[in-house]
Amino acid sequence: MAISKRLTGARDPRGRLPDDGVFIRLDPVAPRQAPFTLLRREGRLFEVMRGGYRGGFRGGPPGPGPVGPMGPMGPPGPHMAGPPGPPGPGAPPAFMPPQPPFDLVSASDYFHKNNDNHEVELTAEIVNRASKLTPNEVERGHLQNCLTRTMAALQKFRNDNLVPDVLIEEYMEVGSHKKDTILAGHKSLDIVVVMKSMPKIESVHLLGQKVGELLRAEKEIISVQSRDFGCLISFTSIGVRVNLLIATIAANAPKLEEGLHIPEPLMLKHLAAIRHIRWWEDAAAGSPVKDLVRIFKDMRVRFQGLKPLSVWAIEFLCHFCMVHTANRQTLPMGPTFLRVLQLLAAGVFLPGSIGLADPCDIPSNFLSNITFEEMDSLCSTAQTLVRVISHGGHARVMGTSPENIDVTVTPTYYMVDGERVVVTPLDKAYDPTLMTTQKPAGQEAKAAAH
Amino acid sequence: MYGYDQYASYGAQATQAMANAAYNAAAASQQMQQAAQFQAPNFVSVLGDYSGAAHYNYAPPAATLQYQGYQTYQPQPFQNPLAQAQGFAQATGPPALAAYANAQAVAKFGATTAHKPPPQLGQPNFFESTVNTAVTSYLQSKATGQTNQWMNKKNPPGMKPMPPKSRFNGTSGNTGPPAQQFYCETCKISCAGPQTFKEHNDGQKHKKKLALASGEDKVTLPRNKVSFRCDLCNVTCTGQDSYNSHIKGSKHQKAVQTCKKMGKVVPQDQPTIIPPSQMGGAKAVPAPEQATAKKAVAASAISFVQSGALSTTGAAEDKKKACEEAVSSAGPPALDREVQALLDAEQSLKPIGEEFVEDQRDHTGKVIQFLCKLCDCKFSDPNAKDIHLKGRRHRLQYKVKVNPSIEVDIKMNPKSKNKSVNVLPRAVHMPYTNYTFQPYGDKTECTDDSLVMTKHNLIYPDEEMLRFIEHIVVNIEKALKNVSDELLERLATKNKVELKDANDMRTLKGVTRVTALAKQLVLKEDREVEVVLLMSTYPTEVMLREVSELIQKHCQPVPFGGQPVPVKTENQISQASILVSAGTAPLKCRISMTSPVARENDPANFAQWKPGGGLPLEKCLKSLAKIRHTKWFQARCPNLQSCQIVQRLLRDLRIRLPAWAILDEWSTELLVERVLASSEARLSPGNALRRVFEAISCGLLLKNGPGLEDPCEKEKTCALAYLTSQQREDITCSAQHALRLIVFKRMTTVLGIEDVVVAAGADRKRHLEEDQDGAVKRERKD
Repeated sequence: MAISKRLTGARDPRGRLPDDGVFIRLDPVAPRQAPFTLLRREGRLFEVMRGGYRGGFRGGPPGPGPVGPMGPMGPPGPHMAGPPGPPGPGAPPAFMPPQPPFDLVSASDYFHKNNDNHEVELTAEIVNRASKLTPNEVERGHLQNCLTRTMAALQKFRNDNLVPDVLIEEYMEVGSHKKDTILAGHKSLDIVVVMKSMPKIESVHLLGQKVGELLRAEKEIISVQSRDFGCLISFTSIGVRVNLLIATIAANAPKLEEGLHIPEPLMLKHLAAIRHIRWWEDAAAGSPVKDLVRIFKDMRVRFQGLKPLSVWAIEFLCHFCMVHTANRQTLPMGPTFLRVLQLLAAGVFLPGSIGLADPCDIPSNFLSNITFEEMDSLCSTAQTLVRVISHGGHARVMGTSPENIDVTVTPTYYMVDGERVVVTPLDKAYDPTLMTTQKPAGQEAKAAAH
Repeated sequence: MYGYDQYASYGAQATQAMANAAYNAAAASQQMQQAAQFQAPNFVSVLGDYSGAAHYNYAPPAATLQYQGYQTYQPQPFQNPLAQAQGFAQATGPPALAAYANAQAVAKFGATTAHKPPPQLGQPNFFESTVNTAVTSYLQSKATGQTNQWMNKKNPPGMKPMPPKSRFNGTSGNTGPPAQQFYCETCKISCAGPQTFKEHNDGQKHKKKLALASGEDKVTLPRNKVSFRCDLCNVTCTGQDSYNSHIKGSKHQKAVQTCKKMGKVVPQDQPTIIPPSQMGGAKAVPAPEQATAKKAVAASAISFVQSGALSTTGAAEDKKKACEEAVSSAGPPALDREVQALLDAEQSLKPIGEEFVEDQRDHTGKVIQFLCKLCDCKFSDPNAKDIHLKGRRHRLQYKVKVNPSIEVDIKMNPKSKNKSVNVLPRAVHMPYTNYTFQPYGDKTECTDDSLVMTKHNLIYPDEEMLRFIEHIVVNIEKALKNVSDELLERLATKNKVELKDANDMRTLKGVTRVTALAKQLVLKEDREVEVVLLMSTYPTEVMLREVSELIQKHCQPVPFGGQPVPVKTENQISQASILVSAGTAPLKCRISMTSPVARENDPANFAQWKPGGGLPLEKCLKSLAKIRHTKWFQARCPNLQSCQIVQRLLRDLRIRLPAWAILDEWSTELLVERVLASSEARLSPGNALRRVFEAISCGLLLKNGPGLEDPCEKEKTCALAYLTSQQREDITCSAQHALRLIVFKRMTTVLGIEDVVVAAGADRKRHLEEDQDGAVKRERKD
């Protein structure tokens, strides 16, 4: 009976809201926001970029202090001076907010490294692999050529106002080419066009045709197709595709209609891409993070479990792992690579985790677009990869080994110091029947999108 | 369920008991003294009174029973206040057992930091810096004195006057070199005519230099590097290489030519060396950073140039001249040495990663430019190549991409830079979200914490068991005391010594509780608790048998099943221990015999110093290690939120799951403590358990992980060294699955309590329904 009493409640009343019983935080936090509209996102843009977030590395919030007078079940807690308390739980904190996951790099004070663990070799391997994934000069030249031509056409379109009721507010290049994280063989460019006039589907079509005409005038062989995101311009001779991603200014947001205009979720995504580019330019441009991003993008193609990781999440995670260290020294490539996998394995993207704060989208922590099942497979894949790497299976993880084995599907064997080690993929832990109730807000949105 | 009501009373009682027993070390040793002196024949117990054994008195921490002979292990009997103070100082670290030599390893966890000598700030530095300042300001005033004179007489600072009026006959060219006439002293530039000269003077570049020269604007100097300064051009370089390339450069050559034309003394091509601002800042004089750095012109490996061209003025310094002259003979001692060291470091900085620099040639084979593949940058100057290879950016890239072990100095934060320049900081953001998420799942469902506590209550021993443990252990401890006394008596009569003088000869020195018993980690399923018997000589087989017999003689019956049961002993020579049991009671108590001698002597020569019939050395060492581990545990774990609970749960896990069984007790405890201590927040039991699994999931135990440094060993050893790769793999695998199970609401599976919780859930549901029914009935009544 006492057990069931403990289970049902008698917690500190501060931990619960009386009306609906939802846990709240004890320390003041930002009020929960309603789902963002276009308008509010745009309004927040500069705040986010310039000082919305400062303050550097932040661990979990301090736990709640000693809980009031001792209850019937509270023996003296560990805060008591003198002899160590008697066995027992101490006063349990009223409610623990989610904690940051265990991170070996931040906890390095407690776990002193006793060997270099082949970091140099791993680093060299990563650098090699990254250079193989980087497009060569010819490819880059092609992309750059297409980019300048398209940009010139867009400029002409805007300046000369070729179609009177299609107005362009601004346009900029986004995506992997801009960030220099593009993979070799991936000949695709993204340009976001923010429209001042309403982003009607017909006017977007017109825009595409007009830009196409301008390009054809320069004797390029191209084809223009309308897509749901905007237009796709293919430079057929060199096989480069340019995506014109349409977005619109905040003032147009209330007037958007489904079916008549480009879908709002897509346009929000395109605006987010602009924010990501600005963040990247500010934080990570020119740093070796881009090589790491290439590696993970490549792994994402090869390992099914890593698929749900968005490119933006990869970029941010890689940057975070490289830059955020205890002594503010940039982490070398090898350890950074391991750290990314370790964080994933420790469940940074699992439900109930505190997650990583998205610097470009304040109330997001990268979790909202991933389903539970994907979270599970993402985590278990990373966990398997961590083990494979520890037994010296770098090549299999990086995709440089001659035999093509997916280590996350089939068991693999390794020889470690003359000892045979078998690494088996992990079982699923997610059971839909247990998690049916009340999904996080993002879940329904994702389901709807499908 | 049972335990907690007991805890409250235990808490009060324990506090009192501890107050009596003087838990902290100083007090403990004091008590030891008193005990030894005044209550010599009596048996001294740290816990004092055992008579009320009916209370829950389970496992008092550091329950070491001290015999009067204890004090022989003290360094010195306290004779005078000084000695006493020393004695206390030595006794501060670990609690009661500090005096044992073998507990020294534990001592480092205690608060022994007081022994550290105070940091060396104070006289020497202060003196040196004062002398330095004096010397340098003397040099300065000497230099500037001349300049000032020269400047003040003739022109406003920084500028030559307008040329003298030319003759009216038009032969103006002969009056003097025009270069000198329109020469800007500050910028070292000669102008073609008055017009350009005026323009130059109005220009931004000139104003900037002027401001710089007059000390208004400060040049940012590297904080921890030597700077090289070309006084002629007023250029500060951060490295020898960049200085060299400046000297070779056309700008400098031009300046030299101009100076020569004007007939001025051209300083040699040797730099003035400016010590880093950090050292300048450490000076006693509260001068602005730049000024101090400028003044502190010091000797160098290259030359000792006294900066004639430095133009900082200071009227007050003239007055000091006289006294400074006197000081100057003393020479600048320390700063020079430091600067010298920095210079050497600068010299020894080898260019790295040369193989990554490619030269690109045109079709004739002439090198047109260099390309650094690491940094993705191009340059055409071969000089720039060297500078680049030594530069910070290149080194950083080399570190990140090639060799992680090289050192790159940390860039100081922008605060130390010029504050007037408003640089927007990079968007640094909090890595982790600071907003909470709607807890998913059923609101009435039990949380992880309560599940963990349910499980904990299930594995926690019940009151009866705890009482039995307490009885048997206390009786054994008392019996051992009597055995010790009897052995001493025999020895005294044999050697014909007075009993009270024979205390040093006591063979059985003390007994201490170890492992789960002392750490309060006993579980319901445990069948054995352990105490360690410490002896002054190395334990032998004969001694073990003797002690075993005497225990049976002295030990009082233990209440079990409602009536007192006499104890039985079983000798386990190979284990170096005696197993004490009481009737049919499932739980037994193991007495392991050991001696500090085992650790003091070289284990390699065991055969030489081993007495006849000596017990296995390995077991004795292990027992000593157990004492150290217990001390460490008692110092670290009880104060850590949720630590004990997680420790018990992991003990249970090791019993239940075969993959975990391989982990030994000590490494598990160490692992849990380290993982929980590294958390910034106090963790609830559920979060703490999750964190332990997270840590193992990310490969803490794996071969390429950091390993666990054993704090209780003299040498640096890894507490996990005994695990094979496959075992590490299996444990990690299991933890990784467990972590995801916890996250996906299957904590019950991890804890192995599915059936229990289902029952409890049904029970609760019924209660809830009843409550609702009651509410409905009440409503109807209303």
